[in-house]
Amino acid sequence: MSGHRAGPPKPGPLAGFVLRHRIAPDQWACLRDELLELHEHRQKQTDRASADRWLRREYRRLALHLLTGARFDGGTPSTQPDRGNTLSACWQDVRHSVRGLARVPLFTSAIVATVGLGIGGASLVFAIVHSVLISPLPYTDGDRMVLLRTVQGEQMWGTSMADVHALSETPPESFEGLAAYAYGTSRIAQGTDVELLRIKRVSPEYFRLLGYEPIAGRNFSEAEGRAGGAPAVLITERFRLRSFAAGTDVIGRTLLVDGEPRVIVGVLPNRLGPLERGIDVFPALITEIPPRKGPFRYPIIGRLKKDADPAVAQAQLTAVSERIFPIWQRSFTEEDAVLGFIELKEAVVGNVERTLLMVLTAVAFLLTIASANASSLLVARGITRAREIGIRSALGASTGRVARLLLTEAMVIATAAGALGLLITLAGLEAVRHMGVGRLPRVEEVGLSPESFTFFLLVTGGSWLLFGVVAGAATARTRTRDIAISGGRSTASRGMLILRRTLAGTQFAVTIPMLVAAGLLIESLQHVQNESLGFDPEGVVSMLVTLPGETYPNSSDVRDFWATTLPQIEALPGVLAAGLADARPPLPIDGGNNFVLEDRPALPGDQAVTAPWITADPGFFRTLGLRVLEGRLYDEVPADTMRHAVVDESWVARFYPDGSPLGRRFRSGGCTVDGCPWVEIVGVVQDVKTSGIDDNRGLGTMYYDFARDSYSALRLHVRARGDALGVVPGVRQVIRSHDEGVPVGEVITASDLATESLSGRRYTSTLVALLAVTALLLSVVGVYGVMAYYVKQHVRDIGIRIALGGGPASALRMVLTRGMTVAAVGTIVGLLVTPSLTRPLADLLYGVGPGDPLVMTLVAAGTLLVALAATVLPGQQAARTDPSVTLREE
Amino acid sequence: MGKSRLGEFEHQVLLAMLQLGGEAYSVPIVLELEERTGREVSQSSVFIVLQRLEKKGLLSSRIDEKTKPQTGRVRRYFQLTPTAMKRLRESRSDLMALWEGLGATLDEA
Repeated sequence: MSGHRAGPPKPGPLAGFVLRHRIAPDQWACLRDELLELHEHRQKQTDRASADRWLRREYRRLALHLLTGARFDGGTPSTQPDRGNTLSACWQDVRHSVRGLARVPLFTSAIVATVGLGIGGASLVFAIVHSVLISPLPYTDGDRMVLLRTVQGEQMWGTSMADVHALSETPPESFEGLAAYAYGTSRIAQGTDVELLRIKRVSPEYFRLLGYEPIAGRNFSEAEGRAGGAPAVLITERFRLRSFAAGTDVIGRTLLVDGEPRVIVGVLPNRLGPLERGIDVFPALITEIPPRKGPFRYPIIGRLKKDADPAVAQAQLTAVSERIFPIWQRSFTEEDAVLGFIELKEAVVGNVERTLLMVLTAVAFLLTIASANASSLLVARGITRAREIGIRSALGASTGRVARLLLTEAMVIATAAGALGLLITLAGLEAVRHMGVGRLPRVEEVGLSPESFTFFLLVTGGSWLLFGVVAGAATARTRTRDIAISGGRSTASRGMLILRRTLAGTQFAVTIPMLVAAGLLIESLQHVQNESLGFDPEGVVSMLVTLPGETYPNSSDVRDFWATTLPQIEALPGVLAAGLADARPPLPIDGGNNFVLEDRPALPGDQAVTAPWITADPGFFRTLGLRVLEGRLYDEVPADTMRHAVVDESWVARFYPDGSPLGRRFRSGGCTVDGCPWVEIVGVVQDVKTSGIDDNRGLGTMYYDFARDSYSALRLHVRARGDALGVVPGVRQVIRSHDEGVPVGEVITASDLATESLSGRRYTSTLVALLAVTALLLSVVGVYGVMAYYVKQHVRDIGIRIALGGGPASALRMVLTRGMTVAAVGTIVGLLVTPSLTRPLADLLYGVGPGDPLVMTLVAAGTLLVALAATVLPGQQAARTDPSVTLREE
Repeated sequence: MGKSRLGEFEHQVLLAMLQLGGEAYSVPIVLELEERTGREVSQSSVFIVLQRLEKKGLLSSRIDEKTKPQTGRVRRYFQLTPTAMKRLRESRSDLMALWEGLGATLDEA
């Protein structure tokens, strides 16, 4: 820039942009002219280059001032309200708030984390509850879908093929449609692949009723659901991709289901409803006239017509039951057991409702604590800011202006917390979708629905208003009271301090029931885990072995297969014992069986007695190590026409508490006249958990002779020396050497089974404990905040106290006393309300009552200890107060 | 009118204006401050403070276009208000009271 004289430098692009946009043109004219004047002056004093540098620096500084909030609004007299664009003024407020909050990072992060956690937790649980409990099932008019049940008084059980058949003959008019299904495990063969899969036989109307159309091919035709119709099967797209070469047209191809060739008539989409979860093969269910009324293994679903009266629908079902009762009277005597229905959603969702509502309550508590905590922090900040606010209003800012400022700050906080909450919600939903499989029904439907998002927005908006109002109230009260007196150095009004203490105390009152609930659930889990299974699970492994019906058509074929393979399995190195059963303790077995005791004939109208019923061979008892307490096992009994059974201690205690059950006889319920033979009890064995580890009803178990009733699909139990899974390859080898076509599946050790059976309980306990600990943390932050602030506000009093000879100990004592009073009062209130809040948990508890004094005492003591720790810090700070310094400051 | 404390720089600007006869625009204020304190003073900071003091009611201002015909430039003149004078008097007496008897102590330290 030597040669000719260029004009003075202009602002750089960034500075220029800011200056143009932030200063009114007439204002800028003045400022620029004055800058240029001084520039000229500087140039005379020094040199052109330095003056230019100076001017550029001034442009930058001015731009920076403007960016950080200074304004040139044209010398508006200070007593008049700000003129100008409201929107830009709001934007100013936002920036002012963000800057103000950035100056107090600890306060800001504490409040954003607290509220974000609350919003996130509440929204997450709401989204889950909404997806699982509230939203209709993903079927056409899912809210009108029902599940038919057989109802007798208070009891309810499934429906049978006899019902399916009767309803297909005379469909009740209140229903738009009905469909039946049956679950099973089948060998599915395609080409050379053979696999054992869970399947679901469905009646032809099934998918049409639910509203699912195949993406290729067609639904079943009516003929395919009748005996003698062409055997047909529907598969899912997933199964097609897995089992067939890409691009294969599978329609019309054959799939072997348990050896029977079935034609694939359609391919279903992968995303079906909760009733179809985990199933890819749907053979057509054949509706036929069964030989007897039971078994009740054919669920029927239906959709009520739009304006159907439930009472009328029930009457129609009752009429069907009454019509068919005489047909089945020989095998089914319960005349008062009739068809009824429950909402399908209720059937799908089951008992998870209480758990989810419990968690929702806990989260509501958490949100309360978070809000109380945040409010408390805001009150503290309000007190601190009172000076600034005071000055603002003293300088003529109207009440509305101040309110807008506070609301803006609350909005900034709520927005940041909302963003954090949304992140927590989305991450949580992702985690639930992954971890909830098998623990939560409808887990694949869990997501952020529009309703859940609205809830999130409402909670976030609500927290904004709450904070705005609280901060406004706190500031307003402090402002009028104290500013004028203390000349800027504000002290908290007594009312504010009481408010903050109440809020902190409330947090404890709310935290205690949550901690107690978590404690009770964990205590229950402990009890259940320590509960004896009735056998030593170490070294025991079970597997499902299915003998194909076409190769082993008769019971004798099944018996012969096992008679040769079992000894070979027991002879394997490392194997101690092997046996068969149709159950896997401690997993609950599918329902019980009703029976009639010979010496205690049921009176008409009596309900039949039921007990869990297991078919097992003698090896099963050896494998589990169940001792025979009385009598013998059935293998030592000579084969005659009499059937034999073994019962356990609980069964004896239930039916023959005063005498020996040996020689007593019973027969299966549902066979009145001569249908079922008498069964004699020949032995009593030790109890084993057959209805779940946490079942304490003592129903007793009946063991039925496998040799008499050989099912083709049985659980092979093996006890090994050492590693249970180590013997599995050998077992597979033995079975394969006998028959290559016998699949072995569902291999699992008894210990894993026990652990897995408690996973739901563990899941709930962990969730509640997590929420409770979060609540405790928030409460502790709350009491710490209150006391730290208290110390800050009372430095002078503390200083005087110490100066008057109280010494540091007295300061510490003062702070501890005040802090612990808050915690103790909150804890006591919490303990008082706890029993009424934990009572609904009673059903989930095991070995511990809802008001367990030990848990309550431990929780209270633990909470107070943690509160003490949180109070000691500010206490020590108080004790370190130097009276000379504080007093001089005053 | 509520009281708010004067910042140090605000105080300095008010005193510089008083030195300049109670009415001035930014350029002489900057030069006056630089001469008396011996430090470079940022003109934009002076702009900001003048603006702020005006909002506090301690200054009033007017746009002066007298020089426009010759230089093509406009200036904004600020004037001390009675409030400012009162505030300066108060602040002086406060400071005097605080300084009383301290001259020797400070010099010794």
